[in-house]
Amino acid sequence: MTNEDIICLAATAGLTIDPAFMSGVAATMTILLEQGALLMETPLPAQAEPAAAFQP
Amino acid sequence: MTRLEQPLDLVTAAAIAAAVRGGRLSASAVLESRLARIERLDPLLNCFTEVLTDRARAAAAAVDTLVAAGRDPGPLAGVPFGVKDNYDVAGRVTTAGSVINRTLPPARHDALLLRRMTRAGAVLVGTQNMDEFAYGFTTENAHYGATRNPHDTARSAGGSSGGSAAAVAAGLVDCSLGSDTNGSIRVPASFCGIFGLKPTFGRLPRTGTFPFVHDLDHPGLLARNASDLSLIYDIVQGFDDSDAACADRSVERTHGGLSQRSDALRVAILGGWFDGMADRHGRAAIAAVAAALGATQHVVLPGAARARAAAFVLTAAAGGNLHFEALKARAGEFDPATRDRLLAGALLPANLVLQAQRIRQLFYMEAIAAFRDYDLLLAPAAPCLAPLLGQSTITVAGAEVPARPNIGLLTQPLSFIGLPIVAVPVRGSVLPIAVQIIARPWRENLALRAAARLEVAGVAGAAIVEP
Repeated sequence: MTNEDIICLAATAGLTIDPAFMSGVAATMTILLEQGALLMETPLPAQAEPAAAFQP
Repeated sequence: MTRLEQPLDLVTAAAIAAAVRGGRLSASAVLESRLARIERLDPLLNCFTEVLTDRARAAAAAVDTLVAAGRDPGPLAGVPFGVKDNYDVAGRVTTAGSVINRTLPPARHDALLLRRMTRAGAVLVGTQNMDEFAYGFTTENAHYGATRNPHDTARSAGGSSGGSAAAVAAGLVDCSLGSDTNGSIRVPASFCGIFGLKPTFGRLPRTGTFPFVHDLDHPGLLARNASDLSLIYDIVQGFDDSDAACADRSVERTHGGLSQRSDALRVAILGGWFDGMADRHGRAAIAAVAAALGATQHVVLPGAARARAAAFVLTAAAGGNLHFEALKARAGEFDPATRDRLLAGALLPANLVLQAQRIRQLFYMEAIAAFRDYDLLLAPAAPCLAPLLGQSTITVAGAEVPARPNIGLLTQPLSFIGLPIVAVPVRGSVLPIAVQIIARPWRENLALRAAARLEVAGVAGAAIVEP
């Protein structure tokens, strides 16, 4: 993920990323999206409900 | 490292309470012994963010006054304890390990679990160091310093309840209240060689604690033996309707059943992810516990890697959302290690977050299916022994990976689905390592019973450590 990608995403979210923080945010974003890819490559049945109000 | 020999420092919380209630030992004497130890050792260990000496002395004196008057101060009479700095203490700002929170008003009341402890006669000694906003596994806090591991002060105490765990291990207090969102009780329990309990999500009310991830935050306990853990757990249980996540369940006591026969328990070892991400120390600890509990079968939860990834994503997203206003206006005031992850979390797409929540429910169902055949499951509590402070990488499954995001590999999938877990320190390793004893929801009693059995068998145990 490039710095430009981060800036664009942040603008959409209403955040401004200080250039001094950019490398750390980009590195974290890369790890998060790697983990996210593992989630998104998993096809889920339509019946799989989100656990938004989680109660064991 | 040497073992202490002073009798006062060797007794359990239960023994302290019994002696104080019986008039054989004053709460003030117990407290002064702990305060002296804090004065001597905390400059090295940095467990406390604030020692509440005046409050503690007043509380201990009140306990002694009750005893002198022939009244019972309660089942934790005179037991010194600490709270992680995300628990409200009346009159004090709850920093949650941050400087951002210093602008908040002081807490008006003690957190509910703290109130339940003090009503039972326990004496609050102080607030304890943590990773900023509980987002970390090492308690290397940019604002309040690093907590050092009493077993080896060059090493991390684990986190985020690192100050709480190290204080118990070093005998500065006899138990602590902590919190566990992704492993923040179990990891420091493992690194510091003590017992930790993360109850079922919703069992203990979060009332008066500063949140991290609302639907993952579990209040819990740290102690030096299973019996104390059980005793204290029974005291702090109870529904509170001001916590939306707290389950409306009656108190289900565990202490009386600790010594029940546990050989009928069906115990299995978690394989797959939980074996693949463990190191040789974790595997050796599992082997010892499995032998003692008669566990020979392995269970694989195929969704564990996805569940861990989902917990990782949800935590970042929820944390980023919770702190969004501060990230906009005061990003420079965060601990850099926390800030970058919160900023990135605030940028994650909703699609990913929803996918993670759907995977969460599926993994929960997968785990529940495993409990049809077994009462308890076993897994190491950490993929490594305590790393050195400042250590940036650890070795997992033969690969060198960043330490901070990966120390919770073995705890995250399990707290993600709210299961009750006792972390037990297993004897025999050069540095401490714990095993997670995992039960189905609401069966904390089974995990505690197994922990007690391991202690009796000499497989698990903790002693006060002199750094």
